[in-house]
Amino acid sequence: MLKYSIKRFGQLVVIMLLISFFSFAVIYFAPGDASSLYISPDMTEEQKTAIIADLGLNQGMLQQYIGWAKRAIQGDFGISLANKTPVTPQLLNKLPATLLLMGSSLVLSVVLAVPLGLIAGRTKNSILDNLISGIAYVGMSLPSFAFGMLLIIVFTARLRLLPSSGMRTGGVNSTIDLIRHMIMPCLTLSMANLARYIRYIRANAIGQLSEEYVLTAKAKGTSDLKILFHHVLKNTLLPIITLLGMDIATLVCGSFIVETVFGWPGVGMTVMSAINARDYPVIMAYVMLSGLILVVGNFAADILYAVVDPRIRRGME
Amino acid sequence: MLFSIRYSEVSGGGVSNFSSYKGQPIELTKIDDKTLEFKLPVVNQLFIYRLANMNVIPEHGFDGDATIVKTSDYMITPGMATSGPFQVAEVNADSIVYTARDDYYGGKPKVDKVVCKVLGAGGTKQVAFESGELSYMRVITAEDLEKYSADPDNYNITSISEGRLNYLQLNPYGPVMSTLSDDARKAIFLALNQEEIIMAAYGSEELARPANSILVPDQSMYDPDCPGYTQNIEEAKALAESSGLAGKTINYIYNADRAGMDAVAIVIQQQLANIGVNVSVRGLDSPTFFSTFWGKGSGNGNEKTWDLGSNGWDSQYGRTIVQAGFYLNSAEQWGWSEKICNLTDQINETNDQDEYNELAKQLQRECLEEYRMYPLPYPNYVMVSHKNVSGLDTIPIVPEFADYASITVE
Repeated sequence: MLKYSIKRFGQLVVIMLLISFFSFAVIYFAPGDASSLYISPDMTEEQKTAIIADLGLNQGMLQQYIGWAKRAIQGDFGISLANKTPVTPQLLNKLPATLLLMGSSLVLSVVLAVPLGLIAGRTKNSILDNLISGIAYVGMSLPSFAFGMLLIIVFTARLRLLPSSGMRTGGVNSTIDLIRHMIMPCLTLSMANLARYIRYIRANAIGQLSEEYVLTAKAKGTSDLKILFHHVLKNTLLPIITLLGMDIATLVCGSFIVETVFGWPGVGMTVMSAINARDYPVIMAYVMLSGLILVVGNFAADILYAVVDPRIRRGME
Repeated sequence: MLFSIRYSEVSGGGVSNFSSYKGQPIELTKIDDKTLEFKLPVVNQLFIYRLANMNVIPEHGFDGDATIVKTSDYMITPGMATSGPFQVAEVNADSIVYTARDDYYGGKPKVDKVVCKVLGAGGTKQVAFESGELSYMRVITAEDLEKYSADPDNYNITSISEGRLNYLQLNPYGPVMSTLSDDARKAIFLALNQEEIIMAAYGSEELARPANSILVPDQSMYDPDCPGYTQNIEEAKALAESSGLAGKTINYIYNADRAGMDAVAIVIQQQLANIGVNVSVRGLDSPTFFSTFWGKGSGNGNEKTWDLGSNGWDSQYGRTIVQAGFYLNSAEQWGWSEKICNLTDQINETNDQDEYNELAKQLQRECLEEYRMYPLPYPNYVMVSHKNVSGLDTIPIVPEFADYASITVE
């Protein structure tokens, strides 16, 4: 297990190096010149040259990458080209908003998916199962931005119940206000995961319900509800652990669209602005952050899987 | 002011438009705590425009050190020094809250609080406005204008000139245009129907008026009698043939992040097809567009990838030629003749107002004769507000609300 963990950690480092280099290269070769955003036609040649030097754009690609990588290892992702403030504190300031939204939506997905998936599995091919499965199919097929905008039309434009965007009402600092702003983006984000988890849990539940231990429990007079939530649930959650490990990365990565649609002031919106502004220090920092979370999430899922399932642990050893 | 100028030197690599002009120093003399004298090496009318647009930075917020302005948190700290009728009370992740000053010299504002908030993308602005989250919004389509105008019980419509000129630019370095004669440029301009382009892009004369000059009506030296361009299909066809333009494919770029620019491109494509010219249209996002459009000035070589492009100048107010002045001086970038560049310098460097106005009139007409830039519309800035919100047009300039103190919410 230890040997396996060390090996995976080594792979993690290599993957991060590759991610950093290729994403740097993509941004470097992308059309558009970052200096054009800061140079105006009425500037003198000296001013233009000074700005290009200030942006570091007068150096070759490898030089720029090495300089950036040295600082990045120490947590210094440089200065934002757009607002001239350090990148790391900017992203760290935005991270809590994203974590709040993503974490809430992930919890909501799991809390709703478990009973719905189990019920669907238990009542296989019934009207209830078809209804729950139908919701799952819609959730998987509907793009998140479309669902989000639909919610805005219904709950803001028509019913005037919820605010359309933002995290808080300006000048208001209450939890109720925060929750009101969170409802729609949270629902939007949780829909895709909810749909996926329902399908997995349903399929696993159907498989587990045909196992002999379930027949034994029934023969002993255990209620259906207890069989479902006390025995079957534990076994159906194993693949969900893997999914959760990968979905942890979406805590930061999956926020682009939804945060932009709802004006949620998190990492996603910050990075969208950075992409439009060719603010590559911010873009690079985000790519590294999301890459790190993704590989660490997968790593954690693998380890957790081994902890939960002794069969996997024996295989590793 | 002196600190702000020092900061502009720091951010400009040691050079500032406030401390030097054409390589010669501007003498700065502090007369007293409220008076600073600028002595320029030569007359420079555009300097007034620069001064008016200076962002004055409080020196005490940075302990007098101009080098830390960029990295300091002072400018996002509530209670920071400001000079207007409102002060910054909160700086949130998605909004900034301003509260009214009691001691503003112009009197206490009529609203107690102004909230500037960040909205979601797409149509959420309109939803937010109609649900009451926003007090006003800009109207950019004829459909929205018609919709809100038809409901005067609930909405006010306010229209002010944007002080803007949107124009079509011919690129002298373009892959096709660089190989053709002056007649080719004339052929393109005579083939265009300006009204058709404006209706396609804006849909209503209330949103934009046809332009006839490189200057805008909000500038004091604007010539309303400047003839502008008139469509002449027959002459355009003949010139397209004789110049070798007919049958060629030219490259057109536009800023896809600006409303209406795609419609302008499509109409121009159709109109040029009438004289046998094919147009390949490319919509670019803002960073890519500007690095391509200003390629010659940036030295990145992108000027060789396009022949036609649409762009705009904004906030052209007052008694200087403003952006036109910067632009027409760039003979190398846009191919203007020495005559035009010299005329621009003469205008900028005269103190005689009559001479200034006469030269400006001459400049507007002679620019048209070179067929390098086609003035399209002068857009209006049309706003819709809730019925209880008024005072939005008290000072009718853009950026809007030069004086927030005049806004009333009943």
